Amino acid sequence: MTNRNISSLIVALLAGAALWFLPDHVRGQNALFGMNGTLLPASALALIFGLSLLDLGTSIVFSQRSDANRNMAKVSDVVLTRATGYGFFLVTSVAGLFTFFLPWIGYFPTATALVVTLMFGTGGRNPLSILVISVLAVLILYCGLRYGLGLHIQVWPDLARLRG
Amino acid sequence: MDALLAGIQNATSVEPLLAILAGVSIGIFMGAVPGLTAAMAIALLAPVTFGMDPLTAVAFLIGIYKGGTFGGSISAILLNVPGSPEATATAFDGYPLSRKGRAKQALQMALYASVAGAILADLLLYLVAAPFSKIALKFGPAELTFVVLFAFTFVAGLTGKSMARGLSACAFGVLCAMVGLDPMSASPRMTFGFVELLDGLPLLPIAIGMLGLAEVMVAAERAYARRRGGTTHSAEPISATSGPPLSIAEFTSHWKTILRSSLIGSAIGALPGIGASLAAFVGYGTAQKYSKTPEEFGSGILDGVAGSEAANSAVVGGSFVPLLTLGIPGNVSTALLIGTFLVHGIEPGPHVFRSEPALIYGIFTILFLANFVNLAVGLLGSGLYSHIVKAPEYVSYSIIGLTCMTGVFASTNSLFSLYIMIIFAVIGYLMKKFDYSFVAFLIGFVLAPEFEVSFRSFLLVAQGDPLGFLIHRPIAMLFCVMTIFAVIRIVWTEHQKRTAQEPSTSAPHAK
Repeated sequence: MTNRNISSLIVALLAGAALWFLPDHVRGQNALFGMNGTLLPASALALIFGLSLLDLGTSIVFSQRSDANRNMAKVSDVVLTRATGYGFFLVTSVAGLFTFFLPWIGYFPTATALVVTLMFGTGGRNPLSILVISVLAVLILYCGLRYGLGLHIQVWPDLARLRG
Repeated sequence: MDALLAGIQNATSVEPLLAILAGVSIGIFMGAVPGLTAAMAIALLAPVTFGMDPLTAVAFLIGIYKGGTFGGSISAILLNVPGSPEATATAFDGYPLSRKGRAKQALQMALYASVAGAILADLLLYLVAAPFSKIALKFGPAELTFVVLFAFTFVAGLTGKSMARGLSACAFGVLCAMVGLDPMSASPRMTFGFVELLDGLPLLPIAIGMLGLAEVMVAAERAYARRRGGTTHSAEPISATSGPPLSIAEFTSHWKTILRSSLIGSAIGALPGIGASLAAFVGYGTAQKYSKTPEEFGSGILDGVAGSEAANSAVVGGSFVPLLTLGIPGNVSTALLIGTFLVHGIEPGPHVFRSEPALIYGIFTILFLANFVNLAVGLLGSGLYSHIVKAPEYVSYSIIGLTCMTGVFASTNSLFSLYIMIIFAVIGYLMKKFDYSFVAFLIGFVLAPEFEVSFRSFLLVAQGDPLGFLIHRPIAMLFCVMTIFAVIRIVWTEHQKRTAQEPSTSAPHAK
């Protein structure tokens, strides 16, 4: 089974499960307003479910027709490598940590750490230039927000909050 | 006439002019850097406009949109790496021209053709939009339902590599738009107990996550692959000032190509979901078809640059026809523009022509002015931009990451929005990997609330007999039939594509 087919299957399963749980998450009997409020989300989920199964079915039938088709399906498949996992993990973890620590240690430290990590992660190698560019980028952005748009962001660690 | 004069006066005051200048400069920069697009710039910088007055905000974003469309050609011509997808066709002849030592001519032709194409498209918009809005004013819930349904089908069928995945992405966009309070009964839907979700999922964190942060993931993936040896070496950049300048005679000798491509771009731009990339390819192909020397295309010919650039820039004006007259976005940039319009209290659609004509004429004037600012910035700044395209990837993408996080937090002042952005960055990254169209998703997301209200109103006024009601509404009926035909055509095209892809099974027997 190709990665594309696996993705179709996962999407179909997720849509099916969501379709099952949907009525529990739509409150109120609102059929008086033309139709029930569940109908459109349920239709969207049903469409995703049906189309994913259709995509999976046609893809399997296509690849079963001949060896050439099977090879073609493999060649044109989505390649998932370590690099994929790395890109995915780096950005989600850095962004997640930024969001988590922002109210605790403030904008300057978190934003600088974010840019430094991303620069290292995306191929930067000179520590000094990375640090200088990061600090400059954070400063410029902060000044733009603070003095250009008049926005207030907590800049440094909130010591009272850190002490508990 | 008063509205026209008021619109021109408002648009030519200092603030909108400065906003256009800033927007065009940023747009060209974002377009020129490979991987960054005008749509990404609009998503990232939309929060900046929240403090501006509506016309200045619109001027800024239109400037980015116009500048970004031209900006893509700079790296296409100098590096053979299209800065944005719509500049791919420009690289076919632009880069060979640079290799021949005619980079300056190629860049100037790209700029002049872009500006000429955009001006022609804006003129067409001006001629078409007002009469079309009068027809659109007659649209009731039934018409709106089927117009939006047609747009969904059209977009989902044409974007991405697979119809099933395009439609699934569109349906997912519709599903995400259903989160929050039911627009008619005000009962909560799919909020999972989060008070923050009662207002629905916010557009900007979603768009910034899917466009910006997901792109940073792709850049990190590329960096890892490069480090492990699977390196892709980009071409050495060529100086933007090399070679002779473009003469007026050389430019005017391509007027037929520019005119033809502008018309093609405008028409394609007015259709939702097709986009500037296809327009550029069609413009390029048509220029080759009507050329006296078609065999020279691809070897470095100014006609090729003019054909693709005029077409992709004309898409901007064309895409404003459905946006302003029906409130239907045709691509990611216009979908994001709608979001920003709504924040500023402008609801695009036929009513805005009647309720705020000065604003509409102001927008038309801004569209025109942005072309001339684009010309000036492009002429003065091409040398500078050619240096910018050489900036290392790790610098540009890290700063994009920072801008995404800061922009969303600053505009919403909510950590919840940051988490939503991260979740949608992951979804966007996976959608990109597995060919689920982001354009279809975003258009589904933006149009779904309008669709739901229209559809439910249509069912209410039809009083249990929707088919009987539909027969008495010819425009709605027409769009209903067009939707059915669009589905049949998409399924047929998909079938043909699959059959054409199939390698010959008789080959082994032929041996």
